[in-house]
Amino acid sequence: MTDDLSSLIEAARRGDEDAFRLLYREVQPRLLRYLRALVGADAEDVASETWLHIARDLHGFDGDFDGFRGWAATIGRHRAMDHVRRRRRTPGPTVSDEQLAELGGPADTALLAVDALATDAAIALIASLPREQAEAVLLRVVMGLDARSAGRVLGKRPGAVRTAAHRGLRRLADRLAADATPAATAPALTSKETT
Amino acid sequence: MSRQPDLVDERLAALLTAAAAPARPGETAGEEEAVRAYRTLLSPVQPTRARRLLVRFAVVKAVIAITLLGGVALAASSSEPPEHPAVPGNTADTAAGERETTDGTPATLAGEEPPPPSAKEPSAPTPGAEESAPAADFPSLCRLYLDDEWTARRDPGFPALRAEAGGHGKVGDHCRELLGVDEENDDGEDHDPGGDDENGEPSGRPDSVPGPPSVHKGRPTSPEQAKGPKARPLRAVRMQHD
Repeated sequence: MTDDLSSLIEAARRGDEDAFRLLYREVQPRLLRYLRALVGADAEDVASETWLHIARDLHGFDGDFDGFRGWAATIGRHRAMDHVRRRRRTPGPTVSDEQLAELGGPADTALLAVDALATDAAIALIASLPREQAEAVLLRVVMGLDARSAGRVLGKRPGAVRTAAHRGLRRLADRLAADATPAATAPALTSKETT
Repeated sequence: MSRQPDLVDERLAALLTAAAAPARPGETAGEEEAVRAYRTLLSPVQPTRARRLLVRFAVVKAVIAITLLGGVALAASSSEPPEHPAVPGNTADTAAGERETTDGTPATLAGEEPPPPSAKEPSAPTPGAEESAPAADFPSLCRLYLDDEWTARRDPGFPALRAEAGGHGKVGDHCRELLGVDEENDDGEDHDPGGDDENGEPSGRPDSVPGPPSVHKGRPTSPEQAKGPKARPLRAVRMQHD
């Protein structure tokens, strides 16, 4: 699978538009979610900018699909930082307390995977973590990068990324646990989702 | 409220799964825009193509400019008495002969002449002044002329020399005389190796003074001659600035 995707990169570099489309479809959703945690509602604009840069520099990219994802994340992150500077806004959690309260209910949590808004809610919850942890979790879980690649995106050592991701997950678990009650869970759904 | 590890793990797993869920339609809404950017920006071929087109355009412009210049020179020279006695001797060089007639262009050529001498000694740049210019100017011109006589003969950049020598075909001879390349040594500073180099052997030169015939023998290939006159003047001008 990864090999197939890697061959798409080569094809896209040669000017194969369809290959570029497939790459876009593969990477964009995850990239957008990552960017949403960084710049909130402006994520789509930043993603557009990111793809502009990708399109411009793709001919000079040398790597496989994993490398491409990391590269895209790096570009996206830089663009997000630029965006934040422009807007003089501090990146970080973009979810409000009200949204967090809504997410807190066990029934909501159980329905995450089946609800149309589940992904947004999950991203918002992750984005509510301290930024370092949020980014580590998103790059590992959403962008699918390993610790080393995520470290390159963040300019940190892989160990630091692992630690940040671990802390982030633990904090998420704590939040989820706060409202966890046996009666409110939906094991069938969750077990199906995790497979 | 007691914490239940399994339940929390399940919730966390559900949350992460949702976060990494497959794409939803709205998330790829920017696809066409991205593809447009890709079309416009990616192709590494495009810059090259564009560069090639630019170069081609520049070349075309240069050719047109040279052609126009030549046309102007030719038009201007039409009032000049035709004088290329040596050229007719070589039938293969009719075209070259025509070009040589352009050498007679007084105004244009005189304008081009001043630069070379100015490198050493600024002299009167006006055409009229050049024709009656002090002899000190002519050694420099002659050196340039003899540096690449074959090109210079086709270069419309030496009208003053031609006037001084008393005819187009006499320029080489006159210059060699002036510089003392052959028997006479009129000017001590004229022993410029560049001027002599072209001759190779000074003694053999006098015979080929009329230039054109002997030179054409050396470079008879018509293609080069056909292109030479167009391309070479530029080089000659560059040389003059050196």
